[in-house]
Amino acid sequence: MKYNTKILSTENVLLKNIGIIDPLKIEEYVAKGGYKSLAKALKMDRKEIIDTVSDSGLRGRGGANFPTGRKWLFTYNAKADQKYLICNADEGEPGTIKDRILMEGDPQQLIEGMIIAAYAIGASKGFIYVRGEYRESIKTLRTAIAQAVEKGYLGNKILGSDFSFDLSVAEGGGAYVCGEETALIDSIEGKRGEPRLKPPYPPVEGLFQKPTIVNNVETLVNIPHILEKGAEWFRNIGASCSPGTKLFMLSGDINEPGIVETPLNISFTEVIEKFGKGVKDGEIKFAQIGGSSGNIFTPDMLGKVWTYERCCEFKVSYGTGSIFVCNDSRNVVDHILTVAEFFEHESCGKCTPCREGTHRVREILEKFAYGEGTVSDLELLKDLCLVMKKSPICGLGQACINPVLDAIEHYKSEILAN
Amino acid sequence: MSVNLEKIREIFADYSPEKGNFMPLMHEVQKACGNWLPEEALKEVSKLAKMPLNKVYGFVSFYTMFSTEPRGKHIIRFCKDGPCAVKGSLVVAELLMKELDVEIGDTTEDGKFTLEETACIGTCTAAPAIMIDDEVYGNVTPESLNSILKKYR
Repeated sequence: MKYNTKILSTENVLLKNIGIIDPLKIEEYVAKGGYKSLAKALKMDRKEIIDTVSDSGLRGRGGANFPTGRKWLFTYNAKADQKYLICNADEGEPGTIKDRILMEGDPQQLIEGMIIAAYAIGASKGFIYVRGEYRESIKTLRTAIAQAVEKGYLGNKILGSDFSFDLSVAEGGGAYVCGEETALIDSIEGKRGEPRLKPPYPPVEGLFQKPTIVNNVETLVNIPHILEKGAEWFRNIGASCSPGTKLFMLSGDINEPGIVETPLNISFTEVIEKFGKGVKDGEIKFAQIGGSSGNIFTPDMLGKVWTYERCCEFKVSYGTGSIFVCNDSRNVVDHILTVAEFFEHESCGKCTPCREGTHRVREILEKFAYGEGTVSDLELLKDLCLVMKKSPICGLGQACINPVLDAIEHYKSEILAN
Repeated sequence: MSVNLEKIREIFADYSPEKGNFMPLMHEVQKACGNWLPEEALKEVSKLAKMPLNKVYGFVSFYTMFSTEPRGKHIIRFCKDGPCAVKGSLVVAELLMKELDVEIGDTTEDGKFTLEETACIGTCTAAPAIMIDDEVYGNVTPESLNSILKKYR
């Protein structure tokens, strides 16, 4: 099929139109009730919209889980002649395909979410930063934006209100680090995408030094639904501390790879069994959750329900929601070496711990892959990872060693046996 | 090949820093120059964008989708990240190298194809995946690879 992806769940909110409507026909989105939330929002007070989003308990879906309403409030309160809204569609975590599906399958849902968000925070200009490799998403969004302008949902005096909003697509150029919001901002400004030192944070000082909200695609597509059905409806979905549905993506050794929308009250084992029809060719050995920098989950951990609170307690993250399954024929060293090579290439080079560290991590892991690693190499690797967890300036450097540390903790004997 | 400076001026007529469109325009310039960015093109961009040449070069050398070396008419990118790796992306890469008689990063003698690695292209549920120019192909097998390549030969 067109999206190369099966939708495995049936009770969907965010995915409900995908594969059903023609993404290039705005009429079909409107016929499904689209843009009703925008009309409703434009009659509301801006602060009331932010309160609704805060009350819903929505957290950012890009991986960091920051409360969306609280983030918006920073920019709402900031005094400036110009504010910006950016949609982070630089989806680069291996195993993660949700943003692409959302953009290519139902682009108006995202655009509606963005217009409402922009109105709430007081932004008159917005960008969707799509990674350069997503040519189809870029084309689809450009067509969808033109249609929304034509119908009066975008542009000057939207739906007869006093609110004007201009939206355009900004492309990436093939740099994973641009998913980091300040790197992304620099990239839109026509610079190398190197993360900035923080603070100041973007909601106060972002694009062109103006207050800027950067939200993930999946976060923004929730907005029309929250406005339409109310904060309480959202709060009642799934676990109380992690309300709403989340998109999970199954890849790797799985019988039925695809995308799943489910409340966060289900274990990863259930997602794998119920939606993915189980592990392919053997038993499960581990799964990496949330992309390259995601944690490695043992079968025991996969059996638990990972709400946001539980993740905080055990200092793990489900990140973007990708579930990359490895069966018992896979060697954990091979996998983390692939990850280490990825980060060695994607480190932007701005700060030393990441630039040098990713290189050395790959070197040491290669020793194990060739059967030359020793106990002291493993100690060195662990020390290096602990330094990297604390010292780089951005999330890439700090998180890229997560899977290595997890592998050392859970699969130490296997690494040493290599 | 000679660089069509007029075309670059046309592309950059729409440039303004506030529009945040430096990147999209650079993609267009690269396309107009035949999939790479010769020095003359960068010099012209530097003038048009009022940006020092070293900044322009710093920009294009940072992003993997840009090249300052000549590339083929079609760019074949294969993904080798985790989900594709366990589904045999390296077998696909080897077949591509053999079929095209090039190493990774090189261009075929006839100038038709350049073979590159890419980071994840969001086709992990249909791994292994490759991308030729703007088109993505999932569930690539040795058999399907031949028929895909035929379209571009």
